[in-house]
Amino acid sequence: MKGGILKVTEVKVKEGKELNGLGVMLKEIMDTNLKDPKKYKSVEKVKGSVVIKESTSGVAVTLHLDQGKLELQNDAVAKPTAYMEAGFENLAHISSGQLSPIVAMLTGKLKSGGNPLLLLKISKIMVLK
Amino acid sequence: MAILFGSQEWVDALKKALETSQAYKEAAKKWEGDIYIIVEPDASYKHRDIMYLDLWHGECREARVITDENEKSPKYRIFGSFTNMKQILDKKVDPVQSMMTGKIKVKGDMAQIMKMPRAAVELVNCMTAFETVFPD
Repeated sequence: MKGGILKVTEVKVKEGKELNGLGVMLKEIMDTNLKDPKKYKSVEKVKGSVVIKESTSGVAVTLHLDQGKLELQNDAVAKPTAYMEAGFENLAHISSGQLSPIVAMLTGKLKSGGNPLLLLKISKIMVLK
Repeated sequence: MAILFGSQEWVDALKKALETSQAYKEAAKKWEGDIYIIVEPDASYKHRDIMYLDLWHGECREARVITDENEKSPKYRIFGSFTNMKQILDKKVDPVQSMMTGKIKVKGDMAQIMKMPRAAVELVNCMTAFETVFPD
């Protein structure tokens, strides 16, 4: 944008709902990352939904992306564009940048499916680095 | 001997458990930051208890019961209702599950917890390393 006005973006929460703990953690990480214009750009034009699940507790959230608008909701939607699942410690290691999502996938620490391009784009705002 | 939850004896026992746990020391060797454990009242408990732990590089430098929440400004605040906390200490509920469902809430620098998730798990393990009794 001309004049360099900084666009403030954050992940919205589906109306009338209190996010579960997994959602609160992910929102905090994503909100931090979205302040970085480069990271925001990677999801700016994306459309779709991603289910993120913590495997030991079975707790899940769905992130909806619609051309720059991001919204989190509790639980998994029935037909997401992509999904990923890992245990708490592995999710944490991925989010903190200690474990690459690609390596995690190859070693079976992160299970995923659906649109791989979308997963790659989401990983940019899920990793704090 | 069982120790009363929320008492100074309880935080002393937790400090001792942290000091003797090799697993905690290893997982938290880079941990920097003090915490409040805040027990919130619910139908079976009328008080709001605050316990303070100063955790630094695998050590517990201070552990005590706090009466005025403004006394310290810790890096982390762990909140949970009495019943939810009790379920964890009774080992009826997995602490990770409580955190994921939001029954136990953590406020503070998420980046450090994400780097050392094991430290958080081992901290809870230390809380269950000794026998706790709960007020009626």
